[in-house]
Amino acid sequence: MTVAPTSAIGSAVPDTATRYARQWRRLARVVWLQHRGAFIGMLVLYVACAATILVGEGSAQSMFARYVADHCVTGAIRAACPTISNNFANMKDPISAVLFVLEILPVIVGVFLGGPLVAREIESGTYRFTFSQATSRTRYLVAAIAMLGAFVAVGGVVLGLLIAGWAHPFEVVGVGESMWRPGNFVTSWWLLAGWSLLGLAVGAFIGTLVRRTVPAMATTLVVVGGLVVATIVVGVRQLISIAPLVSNSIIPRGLGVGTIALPASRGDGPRGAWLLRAWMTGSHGVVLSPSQSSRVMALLSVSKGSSVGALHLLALHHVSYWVSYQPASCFALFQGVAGAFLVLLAAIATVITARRLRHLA
Amino acid sequence: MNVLETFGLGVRYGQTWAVRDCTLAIPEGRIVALVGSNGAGKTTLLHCAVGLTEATCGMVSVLGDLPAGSIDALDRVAFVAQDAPLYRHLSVHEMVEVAANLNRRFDRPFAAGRLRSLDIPMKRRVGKLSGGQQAQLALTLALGRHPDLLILDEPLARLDPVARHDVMALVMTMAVEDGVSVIFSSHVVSELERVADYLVLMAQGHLQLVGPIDGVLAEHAVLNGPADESESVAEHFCVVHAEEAARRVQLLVRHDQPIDTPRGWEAGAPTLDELVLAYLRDPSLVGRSGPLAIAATRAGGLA
Amino acid sequence: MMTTAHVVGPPHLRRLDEISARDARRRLLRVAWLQHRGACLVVLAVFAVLVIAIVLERIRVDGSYAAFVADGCVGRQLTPGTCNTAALALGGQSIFTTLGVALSALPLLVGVFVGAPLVSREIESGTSRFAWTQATPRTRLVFATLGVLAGGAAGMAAVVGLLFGGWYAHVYYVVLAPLDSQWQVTPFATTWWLLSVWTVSALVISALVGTIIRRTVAAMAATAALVGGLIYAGRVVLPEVLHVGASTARLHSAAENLVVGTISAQSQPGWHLPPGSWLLRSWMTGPDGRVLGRSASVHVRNALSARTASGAARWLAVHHDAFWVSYQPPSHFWMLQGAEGVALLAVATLCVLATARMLKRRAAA
Repeated sequence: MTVAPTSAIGSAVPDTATRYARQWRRLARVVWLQHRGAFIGMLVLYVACAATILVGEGSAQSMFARYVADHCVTGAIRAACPTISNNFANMKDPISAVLFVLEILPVIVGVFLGGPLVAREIESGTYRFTFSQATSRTRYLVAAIAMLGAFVAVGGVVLGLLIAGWAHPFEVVGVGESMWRPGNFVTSWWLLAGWSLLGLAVGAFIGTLVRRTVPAMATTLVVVGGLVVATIVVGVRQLISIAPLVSNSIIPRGLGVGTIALPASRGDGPRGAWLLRAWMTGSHGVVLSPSQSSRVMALLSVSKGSSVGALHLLALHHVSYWVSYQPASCFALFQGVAGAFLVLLAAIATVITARRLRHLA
Repeated sequence: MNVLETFGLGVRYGQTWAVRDCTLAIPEGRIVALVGSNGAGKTTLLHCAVGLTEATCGMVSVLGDLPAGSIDALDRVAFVAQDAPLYRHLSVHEMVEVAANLNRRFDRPFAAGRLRSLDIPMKRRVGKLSGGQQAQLALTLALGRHPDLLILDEPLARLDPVARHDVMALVMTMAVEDGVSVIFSSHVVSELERVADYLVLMAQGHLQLVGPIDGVLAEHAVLNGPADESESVAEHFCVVHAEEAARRVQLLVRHDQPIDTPRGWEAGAPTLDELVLAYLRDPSLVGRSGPLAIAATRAGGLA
Repeated sequence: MMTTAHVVGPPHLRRLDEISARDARRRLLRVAWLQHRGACLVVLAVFAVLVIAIVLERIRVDGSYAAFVADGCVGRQLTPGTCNTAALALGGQSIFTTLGVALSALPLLVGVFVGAPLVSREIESGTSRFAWTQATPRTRLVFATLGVLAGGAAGMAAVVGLLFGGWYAHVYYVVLAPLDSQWQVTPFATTWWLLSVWTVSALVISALVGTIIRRTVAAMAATAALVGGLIYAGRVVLPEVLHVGASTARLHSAAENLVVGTISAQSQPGWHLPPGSWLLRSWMTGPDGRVLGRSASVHVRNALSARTASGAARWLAVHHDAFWVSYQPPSHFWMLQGAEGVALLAVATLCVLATARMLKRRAAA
């Protein structure tokens, strides 16, 4: 008969799962005590952003209701429609500020949460206490990053969903807030969570390299900020240019040739699509040169926006107007790929940080 | 001239009094041992003396009538804080340069020579030095100012025994040859006894015992006798501490006049260690604690 | 009062009461450099990157700008052709906006990474117990450091502001007029004057925050929120402030391109306004001189848009309607710049006084 092992004080030793859970609960408590200032600061930021979005959303929704009631969505030409569109366009402040904050949220998380995570311990010498306790450094780091990461991920998800809800009427009205726009692309709920995790992990890693708090924070700002800027300016455009669809039935109403990078507005392509590039071909499918295309565009401007007139003119001159685009249905796919990539990078950064911590002198 | 003078000094952090009703006058030319248990208020008192902490009530002055923390005072007072805080990213040479540039007078050759004799490389970053070397560097920066009053907050904590011995010897030399007054706090009472000639004992923010060590020791005696007579004997003396073992009792008593040793009892002089330990064990005890308190203790206290 | 000098021992121990003020300043500068050389070098690096970016960009657009000027396009409406090509070449680039944003953020970065740790790091690490027990008043030490950092940062900001606003952005103001102008929010805030004033103010405000909070990361976060909020508030408030002291004028012709309401564009030739005026708002008045409502304005606007410039002027005269604009003449630009700068400097001065007061009283333990 096996006897259950007893602890020194005589009570039964809990099973492995319970012990495991208790250890992580204790670690969570330690992480909370060490970083509660950061948690509270970030919570204040999240709440402020959410409140701003909700207030702005109320105004946008009521204006959108008027827009719908005036049948502007269906394309009816009513005197009030341009005015409402204009009002939408003027409505973006202070939401613009919130959008900017969301775009730099990974940087904020990286600089103020990730950078000091390890660097401050090392600089102040408290690591000599923390890492000499009966808890492995890896477990300590994983607990800290898991707790902070879960917090910023949830915050990112909530803000991303809120901003998407706010942006929807603008997208329908057509004043430029497409979900494909790089600044909006990276602030979707999924990518905002992924970016926040990456900012946190990269900041922690940089802290193990630099080992001084303020320089680690500054370095994180440069690295994560550079990644965000590069993604918005170049990365997203490159990503969504992969395997586009092509159509020659989109009317070149004010689009021109070359890079477009605009959402498809009413009648200019499939609803919710992102127009990438346009070019013209003449007879035999030969691509027209820029000067030839300019001449055709000049002719089309005479048709004054009439789709029938434009099509007739193109057919008359044996010219086809081609547009490459990404359909709305591909949006989730690109988001999924980008988000998974960010989470993977964050995991790699965490693993490298853990390895460095283990060998920290 | 008194190198450190306080009158009714009190320092409060929030709701907690770190120092209260502190009145003392330390004459010049002394090596003062500031002793107390953890949280007694030693560091707070020293911080007040150099202007790092502002008094909530009372006054504190140094070197006669100079307000503590004034530039004229800091010009002549050097302070080494606990843990020897230094700029870890600077090299030793740069650290010396900072000290020299922040003071009106600084003996760079002396500082460089002392660091060389301690084998502390001038080009090494402070953060890369050992704890003991950092402590030595901090002390050197203070000594390089050739102060009239040197205040050291637990300077021996990070030093090895040889280094402690050397630092104490240096302190004595400075006191004797240069007339520097020294106040240092420490827990290592046995080493204090070798160099200090003035004692300030604190507990729970109050002064317990203040005075020249010889005089303080002379005011106390150790009586050894049978345990069953301890109560009757204790009625005749002011007992500071009683310790019983194997039917014998040892009483540490305080007296103002020569004592009459009871029959069957032995009297002797206490060591500084015994004296300090006895007072530290009972924070409510108050010996001589400054000019005004003398009258108070005579009126209703121990005498 | 200082005691009189007296010689004690060897020369190097002599009290240096006769030390010159210049020597005392030099010694403090040396201490400030040793303590903050890392931050100084980083700020210098950022400054260098900005300068290089501006210079390279200016060189890159120089060809388009030269062609624009050579073709006599300055002040003309953009039509398909050479003038439009140059405008498209410049308008399609995003680095102008990026540089503007970077310059706008410069004061925030200086405040967060240089100003906030100035005092808070000293206190948190405990080195204040060394630095503030030397024979140099702590206020003098902190303000000497702050002065050095502020002077350097302000100088760099002024240089960058001059390069950006006076040299690089000038191309955009000319080619992309009337939309791009020094009156817009970002260019207005990034002139050499306001950029350096904002930088100094951010530095001083953040030093105060660090003195209050006394923990480095928390002080930096609070500074980011406070200074960031101030910069944002400045941007939001500017369009309203521009209405202060604005002039009004009645346009008699060529009003077909203007909407009724908020304009925010530069005046065009032929409108009989001072060249370079910044149009703020427009409205219409009827025969009785009263301001027309929204629907009436829309009706008039639609009638004018179908006519040429002279036809529009005739229509307005016949119907006794008038088209009014409020605007800021170019002569007011530096007045408004000066007013904002003085207000910021007043805030900075108050922060300096508050910091000095707190330093003298604050317990370093």
